[in-house]
Amino acid sequence: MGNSIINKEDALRGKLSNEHYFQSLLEVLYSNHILSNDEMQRIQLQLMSILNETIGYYTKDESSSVREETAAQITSSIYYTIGLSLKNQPDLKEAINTLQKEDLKYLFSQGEEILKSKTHECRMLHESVLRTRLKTANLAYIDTLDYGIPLFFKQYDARFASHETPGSIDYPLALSREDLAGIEYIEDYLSRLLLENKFCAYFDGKEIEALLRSYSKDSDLLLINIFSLVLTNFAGCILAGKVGNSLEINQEERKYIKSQLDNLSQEAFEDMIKTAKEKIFHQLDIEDKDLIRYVDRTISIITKEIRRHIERDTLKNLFITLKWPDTKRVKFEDGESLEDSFFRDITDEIRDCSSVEDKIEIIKQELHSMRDLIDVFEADCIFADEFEDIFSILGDFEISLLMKYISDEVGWDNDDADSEKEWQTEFRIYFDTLGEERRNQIIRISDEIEL
Amino acid sequence: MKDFLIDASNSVVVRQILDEVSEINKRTSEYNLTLSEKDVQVIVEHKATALRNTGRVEFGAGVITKIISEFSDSPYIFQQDYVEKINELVEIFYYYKNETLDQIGDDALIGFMKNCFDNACQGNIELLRHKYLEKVAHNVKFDKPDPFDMEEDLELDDKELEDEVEE
Repeated sequence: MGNSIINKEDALRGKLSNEHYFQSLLEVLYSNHILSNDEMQRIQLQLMSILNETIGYYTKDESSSVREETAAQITSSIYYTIGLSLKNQPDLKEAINTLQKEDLKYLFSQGEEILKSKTHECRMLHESVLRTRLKTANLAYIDTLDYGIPLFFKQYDARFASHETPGSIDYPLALSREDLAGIEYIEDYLSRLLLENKFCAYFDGKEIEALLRSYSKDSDLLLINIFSLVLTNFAGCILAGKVGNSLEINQEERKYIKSQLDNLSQEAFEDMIKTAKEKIFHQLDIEDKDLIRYVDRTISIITKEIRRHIERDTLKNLFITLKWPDTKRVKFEDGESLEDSFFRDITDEIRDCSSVEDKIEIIKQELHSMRDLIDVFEADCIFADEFEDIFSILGDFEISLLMKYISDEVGWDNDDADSEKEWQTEFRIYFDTLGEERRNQIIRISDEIEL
Repeated sequence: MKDFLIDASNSVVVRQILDEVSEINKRTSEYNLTLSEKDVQVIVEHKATALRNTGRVEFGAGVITKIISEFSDSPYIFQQDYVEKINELVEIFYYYKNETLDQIGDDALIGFMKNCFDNACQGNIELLRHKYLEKVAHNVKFDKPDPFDMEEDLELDDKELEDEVEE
């Protein structure tokens, strides 16, 4: 019997569920005639006794019946706890021996001890994750660390619902396991998140934030894995032959990567990736074996993406150029606008003027806001050929403001003259008459203005 | 996967109840009340249906012997309707375990049922169910400090209810 178990061990292991370990083990052992009918009956009776006792604790011995869903929940919890004890055995053969020899009550108690110690370890892991946390504004990351995981510890019921995973774990990992539940799921999640944090700690937090912003302006709200984005960009930097730990990558470097990897055989491509992987560990001086394994597995996924983006010539979407927030932005505050009736008087007055010089004089004297100036432009009181003279009295800042206004409203690169107003067309004509140096200066100022 | 636990629970139960019922029979024979093995089987089967209908699970002999033992000295139970009355009491017991959100223990609920049955209801199970147990369920759902408080005005008019029950 013993030998046949060893021979079958590998085949049996493949049929076991990680989440429902005990149930799947019983099923597999029974269907493979490793557990006899008598042994199954003994297990049933022992499980009955544990369930009876646990329900007694649940109802504080005040009720001999419970709702079906409560009984099912407590039964699943017992299965899970016994499963922990069996998983804790050195190997499957030992787990089977234990199941055949030991009283289930003993295995259940052992499982309860494992639950206690795992819960303690997970609390420690959570603290380590908090200590190494990224300085990011990503809501899913913040929420999971500060709210979701603590909620798990608050709501986790090791006695009557050890198989459940309460809390709110939204932040996606680069590599996640869906075949775990309860404390095992949290243990696995936190261990992986800690590795991701450790890897990201090799990089400048400001670069990571810039990378996220460059990935999407809504990156704070997206369910994205930060570690994957960082590792991908860094892999790009390494493939581009860069040294150091910067995540900066530009169009030229992407072109270089494409030239190096395009049209390579699968084998040569994989060799390149393998070399890059070794360089990553070497350049960052990573020695943590778990981290090396995790990065290695994540790169396998990234490799497929690299291949796909090279084929489609979309590497810019994979290896992202960092866009830095513009710190020099000028917030423009407009002057006070005129009262409607006074504004009408002014436009009438301008309309009545026979010369553009008189019109300019009124504009200079009476208008104190950009909004009013634009309203005058749009009030049919200035002829097309008069705009140039009016624009010419404006300084670079005012010109930049008008340019910004047009950019925001119809787009500066808009070629469709029909979609814009007369003054806007005249403004473009006027702008093109300016010298290159002045034009560049105006464009620069316009870029920095926020209306 | 087949659920081993729930399936294994039935065979032991009848034997266990029979043992306890024979003890109760000794005590109640002075009131001319006895339950035969067949009666017990009927009650156990009825209990299984009641549990199924109320979506509940019970382990061991459960409340049957408690209900039999508690109600066997009631002046409103006679040999000819002994099994029928026990069945009805078992049925409403599980129903009101659910309705009282499992917040009332078995002994407390059975004790309350017995007291009402013998006194206020004078053996009328419909009155017990629709008036008194309904009020307990209401009290629990509205988080009243004492679920057995019958002082407040009952939702149903007594007379109207009694008429309804008679019909």
